[in-house]
Amino acid sequence: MPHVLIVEDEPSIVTPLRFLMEQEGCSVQVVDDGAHVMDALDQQLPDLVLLDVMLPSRNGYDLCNAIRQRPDGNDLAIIMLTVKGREVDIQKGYAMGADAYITKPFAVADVVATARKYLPDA
Amino acid sequence: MDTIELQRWLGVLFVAGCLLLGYPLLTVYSVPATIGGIPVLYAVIFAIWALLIGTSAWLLHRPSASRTSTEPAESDAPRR
Amino acid sequence: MDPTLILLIAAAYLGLLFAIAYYGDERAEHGRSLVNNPYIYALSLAVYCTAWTFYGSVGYAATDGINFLPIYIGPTLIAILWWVVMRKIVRISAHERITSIADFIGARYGKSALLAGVVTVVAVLGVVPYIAVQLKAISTSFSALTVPLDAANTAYPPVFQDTAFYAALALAVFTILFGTRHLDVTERHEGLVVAIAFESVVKLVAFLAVGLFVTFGLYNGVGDLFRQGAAVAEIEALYTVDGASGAWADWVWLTGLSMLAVLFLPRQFQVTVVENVNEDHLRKAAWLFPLYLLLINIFVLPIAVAGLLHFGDATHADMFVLALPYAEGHSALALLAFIGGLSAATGMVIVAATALSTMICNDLVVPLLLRAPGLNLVERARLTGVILGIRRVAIVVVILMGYLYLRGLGDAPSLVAIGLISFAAIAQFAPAILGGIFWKRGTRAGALAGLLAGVAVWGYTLPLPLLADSGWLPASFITDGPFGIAALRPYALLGLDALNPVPHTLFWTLLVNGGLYVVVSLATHPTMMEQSQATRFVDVFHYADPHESAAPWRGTAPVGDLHALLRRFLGWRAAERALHAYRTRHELDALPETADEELVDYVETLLAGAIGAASAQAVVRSVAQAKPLHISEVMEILDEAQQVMAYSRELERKKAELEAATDELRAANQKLKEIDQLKDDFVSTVSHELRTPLTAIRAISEIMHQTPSLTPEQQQSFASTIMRETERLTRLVNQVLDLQRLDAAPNLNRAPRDLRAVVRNALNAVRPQFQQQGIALHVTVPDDPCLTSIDDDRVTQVLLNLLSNAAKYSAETDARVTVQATRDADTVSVAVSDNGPGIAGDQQDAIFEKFRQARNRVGPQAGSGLGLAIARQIVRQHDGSLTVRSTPGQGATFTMRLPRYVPASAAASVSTTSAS
Repeated sequence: MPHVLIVEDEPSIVTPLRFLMEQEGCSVQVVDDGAHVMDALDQQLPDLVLLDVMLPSRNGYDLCNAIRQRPDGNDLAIIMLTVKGREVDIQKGYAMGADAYITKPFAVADVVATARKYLPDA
Repeated sequence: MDTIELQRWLGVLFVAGCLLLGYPLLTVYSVPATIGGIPVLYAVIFAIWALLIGTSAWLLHRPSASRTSTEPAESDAPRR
Repeated sequence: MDPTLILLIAAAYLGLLFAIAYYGDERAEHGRSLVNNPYIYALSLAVYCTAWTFYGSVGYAATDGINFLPIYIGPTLIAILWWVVMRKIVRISAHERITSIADFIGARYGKSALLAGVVTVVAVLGVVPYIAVQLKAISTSFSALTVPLDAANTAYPPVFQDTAFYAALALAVFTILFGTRHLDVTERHEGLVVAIAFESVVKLVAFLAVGLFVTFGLYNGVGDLFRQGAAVAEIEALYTVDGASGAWADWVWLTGLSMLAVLFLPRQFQVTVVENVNEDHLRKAAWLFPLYLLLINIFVLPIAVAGLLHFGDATHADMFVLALPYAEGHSALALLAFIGGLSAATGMVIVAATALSTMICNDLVVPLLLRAPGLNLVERARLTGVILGIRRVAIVVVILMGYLYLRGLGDAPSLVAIGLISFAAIAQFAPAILGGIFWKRGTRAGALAGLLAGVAVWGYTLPLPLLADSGWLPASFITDGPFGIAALRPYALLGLDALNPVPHTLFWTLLVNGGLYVVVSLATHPTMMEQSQATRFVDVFHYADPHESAAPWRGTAPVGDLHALLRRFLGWRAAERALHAYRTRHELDALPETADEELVDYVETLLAGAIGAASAQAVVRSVAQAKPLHISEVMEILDEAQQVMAYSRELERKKAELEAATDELRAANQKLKEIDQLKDDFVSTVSHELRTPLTAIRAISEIMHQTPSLTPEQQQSFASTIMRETERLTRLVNQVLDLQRLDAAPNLNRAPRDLRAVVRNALNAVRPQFQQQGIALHVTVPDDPCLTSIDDDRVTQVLLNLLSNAAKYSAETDARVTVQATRDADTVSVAVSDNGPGIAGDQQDAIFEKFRQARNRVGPQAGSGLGLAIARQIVRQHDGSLTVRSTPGQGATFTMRLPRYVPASAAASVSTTSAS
């Protein structure tokens, strides 16, 4: 069963994301504070991280970069989900190592389709 | 040629006229001889006179002489 | 020839002239001016050629040969400089509405009425003999056609049988009809100018006709004529200039004299300056006029030679033009010559009399009347009539003076002699005018001293000896000097006998006149008005608009009074037109009640056109109130050097102003940038805050839409999330609008309230929620009322915000919120405390900023981030403060302080108490 880590501080956004990922047959873990992301990765390395940018403690770009620096940091996919939709923000996301970049508000179909690309076949 | 320039040329012409039609240059022609039957002095004076008129008309009516706008705050508009 | 026929023809000619003048005026009235034409203008200048030219030149040439020419060479030479000198005079006169040469000189030297008056007197003295010459020419030419030359009676007939007298009357009538038909602010006479131009054509045609007839009719061309003349020794002498007799000195002096004459003769000033409608006409006139002079002179010597050959001597040389064709039996040509001479004479008399009457009226009579005690001219209603009356009388007087002069002096001097005496008088204006337009330092005292001295010397050395010639004074006056003092001999002053009388006079007068003008000018200090006028004259080309250069005398006046003045002096119609023009130019619907300096100046200039600058000034000041000069204006006009200083100071000031403005701009720009940055932050935050709930709502509703298999529980949960997020959106939008409104216009509905009641109401509203969340609520209020002047609703909103924040952030277990109201001497306050995580010191200010939430205060119900910003805004608008105090880990306390409200009576009783 693929494992997904959702990093998001807004409960109302966590709700649909968790639902969608579970529907895809994944196990889901949620972190609402940037400070706790590395702990979660240590605990269980996910196949996919859905990463918000504006977070308490540590912002998403920073986290993305940090994840890629880990020895196992390239064994997972990162999709950034954020309201920051300017071209420069998107470029920054890819530069920090994101595989995909989706702006909020998003269409669930987009999220699902993108996630499927990076999830191992269940 | 702007107005200042024109005024300078007119000044030159004026001085030239004063010299040509005055003492002592005219004494040269004050002789009892004639040109084509006309007394020399008489003929010379009228010739110079005509020359002055022609030159001043030419100076004043050269196309560029009509431009007076280069003088500060001056206009060519008709008066009143 | 039949005298009646000649009279009829003369009358017919005058009638034709009248018709032309009338037509010219009519055209002008209908706006199709004939005068706005350089050829008419140039022809009108030929008024210079009078009967003196027409008859006198030949007379002069018959005795002195080519020596008559300087009188025409001078104007030719100076005409080259017209574009320099005359254009400036014309420009100044247009700006200042100059009406005559006296007006010009008076205006230049501080609008001096005295100077203008003196100039007028000199002009009359100089011109009246000249008019006499014309009258004499008319009567002589008349008798030359009616009685044989040899039988001509030198004794004058009784006045009422004298043709000269009737000629004088006819000319006076004509001049009155066209010189004073109406009072014009510009003092122009278009009909008159057209008539003068016509006369110039007539006299030229007549003279050329006679010349051609003599040269080619009587002789075989010029060469033949001159050859025949050369056979006679006296005639051959005319072909050259005799260097021995001082003739060359005469030549030079007369050239110079006639230069001044053509510039400053009143009639020349009238046609060249006053009647000028477009200064560009000078361009053509500057060579057309000399061309005219050349043409009218080319046959002078041939006619003189022919006359001498025909009549044997020069006795009647002045009438050769007429007598030659008449003696040869060509009556028609003789008649044409008579008409030509009549043209020359009438043209001069009409223009000169018009110019002189304007001067006498504006610069002599009106100033005297204005100063006459008890007359109170300004108070009289219709002054237009009075002024025209004065001018008409002046015309008659001037022409009759000419006639009396003629009768008084008999026929002693020749035409040319009298003409030159006139010229010499007019030349006295030269220093004052030429100095006046090129030299700012010339003063009124200098001009007056020079002019008076020059005229005195002129009178002593030229007209006075004529009295001796006529027998009014002993002949020894000339030969031995008065009382036998040789140094005072009028023709050899201080023993100077190297020059002939006219050059002699010219030398002494110009020396005395010019010398005193310069010396006295330098020795005296110009008044403010003189300074100002000097600048306006000398620097005329620097001013585009005549009213731009501020007059030093500044005053205001009731518009009603100014209007009345204009009506009195110009007549009703002209006054209305002038004021209408002013309103149009300044785009005013109506004139103000009190005229400002500009309007006063305008009215003064208009009146100057009618009654001269000096009188206009006196009249306007009688109704205007002077305003003291501001020191900066005084500085401006002191003198040129100081003007330059003023300019440079002004520059400095402007520079400093500019620098200050630049700094201000830079600061403003910085401020704008900051505001812009704040706005950007605000917009991006708002958009973030909007997107978050939108994202949730969109995602969840899509899921609900696409997933029919949702369990009822899931559906329930999703729906409630949507509802919560929708509420959040609504709140956010409301708050943004709220903030916007608070920023824009605080609209507080303040009234004295007891804060305790407000707190109680707010607590009542939140108590159910607190109970539901299990939050303990501790409230302390004082026993005494806590009065404060507040907007009830607004302060309640603040309290609710603080309470809901406290509830949101209070500890998760054993949650407790404390509310404490207190009061002291000046303030009442409410403190709301929670026992939650608290706020770090560096965050305590930030939480009041828009969309800032302390990052470590993330709770289950994150707010919009606007609440505290709004709360603080509201409290500040109540002149209060909202602050926070917190130790992390031990909760936070928000305190709202408001000014205490003290009723007026209570305040009074307090102060009484403390006083006792």
